Amino acid sequence: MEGRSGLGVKGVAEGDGRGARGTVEARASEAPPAAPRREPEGVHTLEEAAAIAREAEAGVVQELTINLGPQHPSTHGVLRVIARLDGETVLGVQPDIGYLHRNWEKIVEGWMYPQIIPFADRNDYISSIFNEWLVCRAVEEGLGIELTERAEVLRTIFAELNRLISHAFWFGTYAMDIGAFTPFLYALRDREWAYDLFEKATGARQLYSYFRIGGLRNDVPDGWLRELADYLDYFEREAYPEYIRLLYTNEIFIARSEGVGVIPKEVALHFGATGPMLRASGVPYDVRRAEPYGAYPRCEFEIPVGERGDNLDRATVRVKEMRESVRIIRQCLSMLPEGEVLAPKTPRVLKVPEGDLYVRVESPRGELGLWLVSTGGLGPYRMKWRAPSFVNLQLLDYMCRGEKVADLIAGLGTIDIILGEVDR
Amino acid sequence: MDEERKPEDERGERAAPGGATRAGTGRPERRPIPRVAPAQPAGPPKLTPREEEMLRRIQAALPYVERDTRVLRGLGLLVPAERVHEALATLKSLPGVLCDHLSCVSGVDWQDAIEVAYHLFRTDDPEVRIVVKARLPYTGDEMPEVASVVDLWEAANWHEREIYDLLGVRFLGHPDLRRILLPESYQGGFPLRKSFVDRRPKRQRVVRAR
Amino acid sequence: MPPAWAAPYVAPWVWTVVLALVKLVVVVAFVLLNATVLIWLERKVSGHMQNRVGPLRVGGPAGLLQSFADILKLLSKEDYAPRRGDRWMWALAPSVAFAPALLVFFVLPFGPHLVVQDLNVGLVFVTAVTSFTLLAIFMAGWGSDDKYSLIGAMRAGAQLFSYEIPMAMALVAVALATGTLDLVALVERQRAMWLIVPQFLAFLVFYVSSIAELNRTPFDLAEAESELVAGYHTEYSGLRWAIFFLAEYTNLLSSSILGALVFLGGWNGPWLPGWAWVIVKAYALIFVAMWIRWTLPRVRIDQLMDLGWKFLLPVSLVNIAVTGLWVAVRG
Repeated sequence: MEGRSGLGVKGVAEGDGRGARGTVEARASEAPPAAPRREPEGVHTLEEAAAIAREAEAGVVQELTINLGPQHPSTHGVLRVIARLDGETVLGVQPDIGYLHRNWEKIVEGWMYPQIIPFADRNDYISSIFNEWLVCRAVEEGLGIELTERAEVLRTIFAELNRLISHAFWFGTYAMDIGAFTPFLYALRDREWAYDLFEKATGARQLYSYFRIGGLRNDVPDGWLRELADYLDYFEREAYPEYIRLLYTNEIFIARSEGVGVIPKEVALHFGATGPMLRASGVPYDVRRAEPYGAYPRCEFEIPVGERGDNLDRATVRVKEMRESVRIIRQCLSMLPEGEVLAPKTPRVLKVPEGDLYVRVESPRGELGLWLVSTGGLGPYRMKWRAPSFVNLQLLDYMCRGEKVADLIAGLGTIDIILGEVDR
Repeated sequence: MDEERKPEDERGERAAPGGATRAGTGRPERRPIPRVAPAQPAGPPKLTPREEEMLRRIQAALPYVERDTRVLRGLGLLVPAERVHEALATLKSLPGVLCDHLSCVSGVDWQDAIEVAYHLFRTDDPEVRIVVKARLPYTGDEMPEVASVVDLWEAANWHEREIYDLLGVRFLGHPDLRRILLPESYQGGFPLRKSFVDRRPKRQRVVRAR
Repeated sequence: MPPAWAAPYVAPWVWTVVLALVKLVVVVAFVLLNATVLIWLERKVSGHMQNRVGPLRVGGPAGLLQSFADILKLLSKEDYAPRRGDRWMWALAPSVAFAPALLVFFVLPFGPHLVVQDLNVGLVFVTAVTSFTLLAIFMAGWGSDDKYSLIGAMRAGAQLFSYEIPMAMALVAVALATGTLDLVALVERQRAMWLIVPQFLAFLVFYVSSIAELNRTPFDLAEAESELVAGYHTEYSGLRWAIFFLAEYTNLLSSSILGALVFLGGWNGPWLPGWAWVIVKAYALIFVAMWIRWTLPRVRIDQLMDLGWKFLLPVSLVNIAVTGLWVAVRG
């Protein structure tokens, strides 16, 4: 919690109930929010769907069950969704996962901590920096390793750059989910340069294994920071306005996203949603703010929140987060000190003391958590990977009831799942 | 022990961290590196004042709750297995705690018991970080049981299914307790238990000479 | 009737048959040639819109022979049929889809005398024949015994049916304004002014409806790739799929030529020969359709229906009323 003292940040999240004890108590004295019912209601289409479901039971409506996936163009991997339909209306869906299951958690049990980093990358392969950061942070916190300033700032830069391209990629795939193919290629164009940057610094384009326990493998090459600044300029000047134009000036895009897949605040919390899913529903919760790590306590950034929690809000939150990422990287570049990138006091033998700890980072998909149980050995006794996609995917059924088939795909798109992470 | 040696070898071949100057030429200077982790402070990890206050409040409401000192960060609570649901319901509504975010449900096999852990947070107060643990003793292949918390947090739904699937814990009152990651027909036991034996035919391994 | 020089040598019926066969060959050749050009054009246009270059390797500097490579590839593919389902209906559907697409070309004029069959109700014939596509799509959807195909076919049914009406209504206004259903006469009446000027609303309705009829984005719900895999042609591969594809592009061409004839003055234009003007205008319309396709996302089924029934139909009806009043006032 040492980071909280330096929390000189402004943002949407600032203000209600955070920080001062008095306000916390004031908030606490209120009645706790009532838990939503298991079959959440409040969206008028749900009632209609329920009525249809009753009719289906009575035999008035003939249900059609279709399998979307595991091989389907828009399930983002090998997800299988069993959807019950009445014509075009979705009565309910049941995601079936596990097609990519490799029991990651079991495999790493016999491994030493440094060995885990490259394998962790494979979980969320679109934004793999966050996986390695999480593993490194867990071990570092367990061992009490203090990172050098430069390492912390560089880690933040890499993470935010990865968030940037992850969201850009999401934008492209979402556009493809609702039928526009072209934005996808523009998103890839913007991702390509960032991948080149990653390649120059880490040697890899997608699965980096760049973070080490105690810092980074190597410093960035000469001229890299300047090129990064160029990329940010390009992104802010050309790519970002393009996304905004595509989003807000396209009548069909708005019509397809607005008011679709609404998730109220309480439901999002009830389902444990995190990341843009939760923030779009109006909860300004971000691990970067709640439990600052890296260079985030010293950065000034906003946490974009939505109002209704529909597809449009989720898109908006992600697009705004891209801008915040650019802001954070800019600040990091200006505060980047000279120095070493690997903490000089990193022990040779990494033995996390006996006990367990739960570490979280904010990945582009939400709260990425790791429960590390150690018995004092060289490797973990148990490692539980809390994948945000895994938890967020549970909301699919809620989002899609009573919507049309097309919105099922769009809803799946806005959850932004990575199957490598869901199935682990 | 072989395990002990490996990381040293790896590190020994590289430049010592902190020793190399980027502009420098030739062999980097080696600095003495601590061989083992810095000594851990004796005794259980310290709680912040806020956490201590929360612990007092919780223990006042639920006298059977004990502090779990194995938890290195945040407030760890040990709860009897049959009281898990009650404890979580209380934490959700207890003034001053009011956890509204169930981040993770997980389990670990301690050979004689499976420990399930619930990681609770509060979205508008970052200082609330609570881990609730319960030990479920078992022997052999039997499946220990614990009450499901899906009615409190739907978030627990898939987590509990995963634990059921991989660790073999039956969650009573779970609306849809089926396998989730493994195929429905899987017969090989519970992979995350320490007694698990992989019965698939072994693939040939290429052993590299050291 | 054979002309005077041939009369002594051939019987009249032989002449008729030979002439019909020649015309058929010419039309099919024209259609196939244009389809290959259109496939190439679509790839090129989409490529340049998507920050790519499109086909480049096959046949010359701009990948001109790419379509032929595509066709060869499709011909060499295995003809894979679904095991269950209505085999005959499934096998016939591509041909049924292609037949009306081809039929339209027999009445589309490219010049005052450059027409296979100058029908005096050409406009009616075209709208009637294009409706047959629906039948093929239903056959494909039903015969495949595939849920995606079925949903795709149902969507196509709803869509084609609801956009057929605004399209016909737009053409009714045109017929009212010009007083003829004959396509040649219709073009001749546009010598002074193209019909797009007085009948702009009708043009708009016609164009939107024709894009919807063609199942192109933003109205490609019937084959919505991200939802229904490939809609009604999920179960088709190789040659059969190629025929569907061909029918699609032929329909695109025919409806664009119809648009060029009815609204853009057909062969009226300076410098170029008349038929060239028709082609140029048709390709302009095709380019815009491609532009739209590679820019917009897909609408949802309810939004599609709303647009058809709640916007296009009323607009075209109002247009008919206004046109009728104008005709009546003018005498």
